[in-house]
Amino acid sequence: MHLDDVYAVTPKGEQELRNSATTVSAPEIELLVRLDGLLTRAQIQHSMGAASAGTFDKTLDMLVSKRLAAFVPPDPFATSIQFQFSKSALIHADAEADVCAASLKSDHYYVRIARKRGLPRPRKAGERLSAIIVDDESMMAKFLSHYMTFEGFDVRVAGSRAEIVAEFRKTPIPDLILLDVMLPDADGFDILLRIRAHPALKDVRVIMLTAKATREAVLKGLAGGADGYVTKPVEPDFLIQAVRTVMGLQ
Amino acid sequence: MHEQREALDLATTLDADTSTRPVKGTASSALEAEDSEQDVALPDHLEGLDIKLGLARAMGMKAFYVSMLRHYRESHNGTPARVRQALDAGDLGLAELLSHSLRGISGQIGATQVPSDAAALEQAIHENQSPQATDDLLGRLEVSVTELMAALNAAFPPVAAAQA
Repeated sequence: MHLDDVYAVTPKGEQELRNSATTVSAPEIELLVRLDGLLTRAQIQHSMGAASAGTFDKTLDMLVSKRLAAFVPPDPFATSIQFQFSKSALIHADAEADVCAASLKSDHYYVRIARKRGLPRPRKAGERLSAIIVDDESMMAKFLSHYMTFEGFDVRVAGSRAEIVAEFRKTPIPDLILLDVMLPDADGFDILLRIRAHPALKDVRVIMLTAKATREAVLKGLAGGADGYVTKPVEPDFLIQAVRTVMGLQ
Repeated sequence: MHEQREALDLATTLDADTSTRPVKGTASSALEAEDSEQDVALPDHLEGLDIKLGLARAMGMKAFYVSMLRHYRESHNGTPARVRQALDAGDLGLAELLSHSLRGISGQIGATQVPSDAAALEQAIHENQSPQATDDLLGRLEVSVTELMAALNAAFPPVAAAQA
């Protein structure tokens, strides 16, 4: 446990609080009502005063073990969190960057076929794949939506940081993200790092869209965990080919 | 006679160019149906625009392509002026972003000169080149955008003007 960990009441815990008769101890109830998913462990312990200091950790452990409370992972999209490319990721990407950049210049797209991810999410019968398009240029987003709709995807669009965060919090979790590199209030590579740090989004396929097929841009995308690159202007055939490859639809 | 045949060939080529239109599920069929329901005319030639290329990037959908051309005219007619305002205000980030966006969407619709002019300006701003150099490049972009807009206005008169 860390002082800045955050905990929230689970549905079972909320039911416990609503019950007329409780099955937990008074200290557990006193702590349970203070868990709001926002305040850190240190903040709550401070608010409860010195009297609870000796039993706080034990009481919290009990609530978690009884599944009345749960740890809340930090939100990767919180602006207070800073991400950086890991040195090892940059080293590995460096070897691939030249091939990628050359492919972008000649073929207008590049896909990392060797990248392994978790199994695709189970889908109900008839359920369509879903994609989120992250591009602030509304006309470009419209072109991309047409391409993806034609390919059988349900499409959502986000053009700003706030829209990106909002869309990523909605269900269903997308199967694919088309991510523009240059956004008005966000950096596409930074968004990529946050996607890869997000427990629900880390295995989502990401194809970056860029007008700049420079080695530096390619290196950042590869180090950040992008599955593919497509250059702008986007040729529908190349995008669809890249999509089919990263999604394993071929 | 020769011109009529050329026009027919061009129209046939544009209509027959379905290589980027794979037949997929119901959503794509709906897009195709919506496109085919509208009687849309494309000019044979439009100064500053590679129609064949742009239409291919619109998956051969004429109505969609024309709507994008109209949308482009409405959205980006004033972009060079906004770039100039941003530069005058010292907001290089905004100026670069506007140039970048114009470059991207201009290329997407098949514009021939605007994308390269926008790219040159974007690069100059990014590299913090001299105000004179940037101003020269912005001047070129203003010319190419003005020419393209004039061609779009001639080919697709704004609705209010058409009804006048």
